[in-house]
Amino acid sequence: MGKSSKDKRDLYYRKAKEEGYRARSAFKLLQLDEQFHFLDNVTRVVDLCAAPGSWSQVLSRRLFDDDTENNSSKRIVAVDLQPMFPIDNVTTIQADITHPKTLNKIMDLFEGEKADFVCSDGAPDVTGLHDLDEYVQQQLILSALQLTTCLLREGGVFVAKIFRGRDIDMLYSQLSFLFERVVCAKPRSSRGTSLESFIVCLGYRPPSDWKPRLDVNMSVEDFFQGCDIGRLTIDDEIPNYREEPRSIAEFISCGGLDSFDSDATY
Amino acid sequence: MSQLRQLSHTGPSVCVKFHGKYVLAGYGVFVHVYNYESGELVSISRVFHRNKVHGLAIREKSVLLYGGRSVSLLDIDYLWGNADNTRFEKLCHEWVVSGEHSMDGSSVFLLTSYNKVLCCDLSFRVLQTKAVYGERSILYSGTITVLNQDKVLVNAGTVMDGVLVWDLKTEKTIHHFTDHEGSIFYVAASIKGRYAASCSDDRSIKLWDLHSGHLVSTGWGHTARIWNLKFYDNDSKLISVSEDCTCRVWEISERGTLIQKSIHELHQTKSIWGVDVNDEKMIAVTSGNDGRIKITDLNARTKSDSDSRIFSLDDISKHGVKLRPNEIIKGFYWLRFGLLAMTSEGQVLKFDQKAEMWTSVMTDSRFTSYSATSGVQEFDMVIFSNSRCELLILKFSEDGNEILENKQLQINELTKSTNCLVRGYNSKLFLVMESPNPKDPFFCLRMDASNLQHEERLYFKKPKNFTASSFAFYENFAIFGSRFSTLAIFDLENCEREATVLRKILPGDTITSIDFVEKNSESDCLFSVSDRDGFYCFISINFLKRSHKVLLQNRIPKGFLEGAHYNAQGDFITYGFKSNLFYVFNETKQYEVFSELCGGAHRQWRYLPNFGLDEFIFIYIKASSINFRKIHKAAYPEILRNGLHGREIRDLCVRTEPLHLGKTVFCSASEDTTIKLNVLNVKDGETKTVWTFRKHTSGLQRCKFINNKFMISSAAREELYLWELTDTFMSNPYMTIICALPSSSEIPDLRIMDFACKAIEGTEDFILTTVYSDSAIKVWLYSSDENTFKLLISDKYQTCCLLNVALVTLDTELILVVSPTDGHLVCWNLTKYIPYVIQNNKLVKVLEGFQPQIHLPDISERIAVHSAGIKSFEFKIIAENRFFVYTGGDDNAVAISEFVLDKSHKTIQGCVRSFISAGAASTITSVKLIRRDMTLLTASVDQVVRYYDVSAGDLVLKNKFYTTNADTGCIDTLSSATGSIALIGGVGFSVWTLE
Ligand SMILES: C[S@@+](CC[C@H](N)C(=O)[O-])C[C@H]1O[C@@H](n2cnc3c(N)ncnc32)[C@H](O)[C@@H]1O
Repeated sequence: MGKSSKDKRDLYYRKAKEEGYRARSAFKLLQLDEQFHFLDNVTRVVDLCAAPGSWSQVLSRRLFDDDTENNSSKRIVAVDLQPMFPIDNVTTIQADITHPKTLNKIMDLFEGEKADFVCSDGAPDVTGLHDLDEYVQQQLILSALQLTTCLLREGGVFVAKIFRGRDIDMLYSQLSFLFERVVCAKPRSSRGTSLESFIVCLGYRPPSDWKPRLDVNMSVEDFFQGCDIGRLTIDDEIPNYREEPRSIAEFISCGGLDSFDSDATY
Repeated sequence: MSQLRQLSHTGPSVCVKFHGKYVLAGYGVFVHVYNYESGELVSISRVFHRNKVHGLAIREKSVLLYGGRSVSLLDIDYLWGNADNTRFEKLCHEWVVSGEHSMDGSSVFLLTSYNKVLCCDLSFRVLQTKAVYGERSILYSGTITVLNQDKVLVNAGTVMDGVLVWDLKTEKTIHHFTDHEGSIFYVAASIKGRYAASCSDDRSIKLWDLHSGHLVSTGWGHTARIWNLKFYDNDSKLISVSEDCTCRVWEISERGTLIQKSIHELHQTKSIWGVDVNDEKMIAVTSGNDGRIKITDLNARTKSDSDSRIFSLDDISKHGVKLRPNEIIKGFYWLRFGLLAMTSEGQVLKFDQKAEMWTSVMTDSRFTSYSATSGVQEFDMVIFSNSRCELLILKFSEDGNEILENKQLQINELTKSTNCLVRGYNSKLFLVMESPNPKDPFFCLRMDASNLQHEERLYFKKPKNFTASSFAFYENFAIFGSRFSTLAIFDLENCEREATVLRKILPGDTITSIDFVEKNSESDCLFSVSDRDGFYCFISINFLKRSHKVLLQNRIPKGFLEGAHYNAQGDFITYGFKSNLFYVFNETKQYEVFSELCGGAHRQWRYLPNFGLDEFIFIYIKASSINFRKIHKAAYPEILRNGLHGREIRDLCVRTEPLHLGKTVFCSASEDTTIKLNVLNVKDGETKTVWTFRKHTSGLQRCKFINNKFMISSAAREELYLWELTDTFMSNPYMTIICALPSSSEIPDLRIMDFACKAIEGTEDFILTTVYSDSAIKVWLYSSDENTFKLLISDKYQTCCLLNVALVTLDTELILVVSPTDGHLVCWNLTKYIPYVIQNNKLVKVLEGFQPQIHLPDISERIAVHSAGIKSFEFKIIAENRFFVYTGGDDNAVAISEFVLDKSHKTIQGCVRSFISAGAASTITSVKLIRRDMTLLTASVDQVVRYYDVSAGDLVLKNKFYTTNADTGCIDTLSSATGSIALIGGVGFSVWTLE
C-alpha cells in the first residue's frame, strides 16, 4: 500500500519525528528486538534495503551508543538502490542486492570476518499482479539469504520483511532448513491491514554438505542449487507439477498488546 | 463427504490471443476459449493447479502455456475437449517470463526471470541452457523472437538498467538499451524484425532500431505504467495497454516516429494486462485486472469513410445551394433520408444521405436570424419555430423526395417564445411552447401526426421557477423536466388541475432527459431521468395515487450528462460531453461505447437514432462545418466477458430472498470505492452487474443486507449509508441511499470498520452499532418514520482500532461483542442502555421510564483469543444463556470461544473452547457459518478456503481448497436447494457450491 495521508496521522510517524528517526519503520525493528533480543551483544551487522536508514539508525545507536567498548571491531554496512544520507558509524553502499557483485562488495568490507545479524526491509515495486509481486519479493529475500549464507556466523540471526501471500509457507519451509527457529512476527507498528510481517530466523545452522559460492554468472536460484532447502532443482528435464514442501511458521505479535496499533486513527 | 466445487470465477486475465475465429484467454488457472463472432464462451479448461496463466504461444496445433513457474505444452484440441488439463503441467525452478516454439516446431524456448533460456524438446527435456555471461539479475519482462531456425533473439527487460537484446545461439549481447528509467515491463520485437519497442516504469514507450541500435522515438501519453505492447498492421502500428485502463493506438511513421492515433477507455480501475490484434479484421482484444475480455474495433474510431463526413458551407454551395456570404446553419434534425437544416437566412436545406446531395428545400423569411429546429423521426417531420411563436412544420415522404404536409402556424396565446419542445406519442404530435413571461401559461399543441389536423390547444398553469428542458408522456400525463432538477406532471385530460411538482429530485441542475421504462403490476410507472451535471435517477410515479419515489440515484464518473436510456439489450446507456469529447458510455457494463473529439460541449449538436439496428448518428458543428458521425452496432460482440471489480473486493453480501427463479442479488464493495449491485444465477454462478454506485469516496470496509429490503455500507470518512432495494420492476433491481449516518469528527481517515443491527419487532426501525478505527463505539436508533439515526451511546474502548462488532440477544438480554486489533473479544451488557424491552431474543416494545446514558456500562467480559487482530467473526446462540463466537485472526489462527451469562444476568464468563494456531499460512480474513451452523468456512490470504466441522463445538478440519482469488478477503453464503453457495471475493470473485 502506498504512502497516503494516513501515514501523517499515524502515531508512530509522530513518535519517529520526536525521537529523531528517519522513518516510522524504526519501531518495527525496535519492537521485533523487544521480543527477540537479537540485537543484544551483536557487533557486526548488515542492513539490506536500508534507505532512508531508520533501521541503520537503530543499529548504530544500539551498537555504538549503548555500549562503547570495542568500537573498533564493530561494523554496520547498509545497502540500498537509493542513496542514503550518512549515519554515524554506518558504511553505506548504493547498489542492487540481487546482483552478485554487490554481495562481493559487502563481503570485502567484512574482511573475512562473519556477521552476527543480517536484516532486509526491502520491497520491490508492486505491479498489482499478486503472484508476480510475491515472487519478486521472495527473490529479494533469497538474495538477502544468499548473502546471509556467505556471511552470517553460525547461530546468527536473519530478519526480513515478508508479505504473507499465497506461497509464504514455501519460504517458511525453506528457511527452516537453515535456521533453528523460524518465526513470523508482526510488530504492532506495522499496519494490521497490510500483509507485511517479518520473518525472524534464529540460530543459523549452515548445511555441512554445501559450500556457498558467489559467482557473477549465477542467479540466486543457481546459487541455491545443491543446497538442500527444498527448492526445486533442475537437471535435464523440467519435472511434472508437484506439491512443494510448505510449512506454517509460528506467529508472534510483538510490541505488547498495550502499545499502539498503527491501524488506529488519531 | 461434501464437496466444494467452483461454479464460476471472474478475475484478472493476464493474456489473450486470437486464433482463427477464437480468442484464447488466460483466466486464472484456466484457459477460456471464446468465439469472438458469436460471443460464446466455447470452453473452459483448467491447465494449472495453482499458477495463473501469464502467456501462451500457438504454433499449428501446439499450445505452449506458461505462468509463474508453470509450463505446459498441449494439443490445441485439448483446450476444447478437456475441462481438466492439469496433468500436462510442469514446474520450472524459476519464473517463466516468456515462451516460444522453435521455427521447425521441434523444440520450445523458455525465458526465465534470471535471463536464462531453457531450450527444451516437446517433452520438456532440457537440451541446452543459454544465458549471457554476467547478465543474471532479475527480469520483469522479456520476449523471444524466432526469426528462423538458427536465429533467435531474446529481448529481456531488466529491473535496473534497461533492455538487453541477445542472440540465443551465440549467447552474446546485441544491444543494451539504457534510455528508460526504472523497471522495464514489456519488450516486443516488430514482426519483420526492424524495431523493438519497450515500456517501463517511466510511462513511456520507446522504439529502437534493431539494425542501427539507436533510439528512434519515444511515445508519451499513458498516465500510468504500461504493461503490454504489440506491433500490427505490417509493423506500421503499435498498440499499448496500461495501468490507466486505456488502450492506445500508435502509428509508426516512415521515419519511426510514434504518433498516438486513438485512445480507448476499455477496462475498470485498474490495469489492462493483455492485448492482441487480429490484423485482418482490425480488431483488438484486451484483458484486464477486472476480468473483462473486451473486443474493440480499431477501425471504428479512425476511419474516415462514409461513416464520418464533414461539410463546410463551401462544400454545400458546391452542390448548387445558394448561400449568402454570412449565412450559417442555425439548427438541424436528422430523419430517415438525411438531414434538414435551417440557416440564418430562413433557408431550409436538405441533405440526402443516399445521393450525398445538398439541396435547398424552401426559404421562409420568418426564420431569419432566430430559429429553433426540432423534429420527430417516426413521423418524418421537422419543426421550426421562432421567438414570435411562429411555426413551420414539414412532413416528408420516407425517401425525403416529397413534402407531404407543410403547415405554418402562429400561436397567439403567447406573447413570445423562447422554447419549443416536440415529441411524438401514440401517433400524435405534441408541441410545447414556453414564454419567458412567468405569467404566461404553459402551452401545448396536440395534433394528428398523419395529417397535422385536429389541433387541440392545451394550457397549463406554470409552476414557479420552471423552464422546461425535456419532457415525456405516459398515457394522458405529460412529465416535464426543468432547471433545479424539478419535474412537473400535468394531466392532459384535465388542464385545470395543478401540476404535481417534484422539486430537487437530483443533486444537479438542468434535467436533460426523461424516459419511460416500464409499468409494474401495482401501476407504478418507472422513468429514467438525467441531469446535465452528471446525475441520473430512476423514479417511480403512480399517476393515480399521485405518489412518487426515487428508486435509484447515481452519478457518472465525470463530465456532462446529456441523456440516458436503456438500449435494446437492457443496458443503460449514458451520453454527453467530457472536456473536448462527446462520449457514449454503457453504464451497466461500464465501458465507453464511443467517443469523438468534437472540441467540447456544443450548443449545436444532435445525437439521434439512425434507423438501423442500434445505429446512431452524432451531428455537430465545429468551425462552422457540419460533421456527421455514424455509430454502428458493433460488428462483433464488444464484450466476451464483463468481469467485476478491477481492484480487491473488500466485502460481499447476498440477499437471502431470491430475486426471481434461480436468481438472487448481491452487493460487492471494492477498493475501487464503488459498490456494485449484481444478479447471481445460483445454478451456474453466472454473475451480472446491474449498477455500479459511486457514492463512497474512499476506503470501503463493509456491506451487509440487514433484511430483504435494506443494505448498509460503511467506509472511511465515517461514511455509512442505508440503502433501499426495490425489486418490483422487471427491467432491473434498483437501489438507492435513503439515509446517511451523521459524522462527528474532522478526521478524514476515521473509518467505520464494522456495524451490527438488531430489528425492532413490528417496525422498520432498528438498533445500529458502529465501531471505528479510533476505538470509538456508538449505538444508534434508526427511526423509519423520521428517517433519522439518533445517537444513543457514544464511548471508546481503548486506543486501538476496532475490527468487528455484533449484537447478540440472549433471551431478555442484549450483549454487545467487539473485537479490537489486540486480539481480544470484549462484551458489554447493553440491556439497560437501549429503550426497548427484550423478550425471546427479540426487541419487542418500548421500555417505560428509560434513562438514556451516553456511556457504555463497564465491560462485562474481556478474553484474549488471538495474538493479533481478529479479522472476522461469527456468532451462534447455543442456549438461553450461552453463545459461541467463531473467530479468524491476523495471527493465522481460528478459534471458537464460549460466553455464558450467569443466572442473575449480572456477569458474563468467556473462555476459548477450541483453537488452531496454524489455521492458515497467512491472515484469516473471513469466517462464515454454513449449513445450519454445522460447518465453518474460512478464507485466508494464502488463497486457501478451509472448512471445519463445528457441530460438536470444536474445530475439526474437514477439507481445504485453493482459490485463484489473490488477497482473499471476504465470503458470503447462501443456502441453496442442494446445499450452500459461497461467494468468495479478493482480487477476483468466485462462486462455489458446497453439496
Ligand atoms: C521500506 S524501505 C526500507 C526502510 C528502511 N528499513 C528504514 O528503516 O529506513 C525499502 C527499501 O528497499 C529498497 N530496495 C528494493 N529493492 C532493492 C534492491 N534490489 N536492492 C537494494 N535495495 C532495494 C528500496 O530502495 C527501499 O529504499
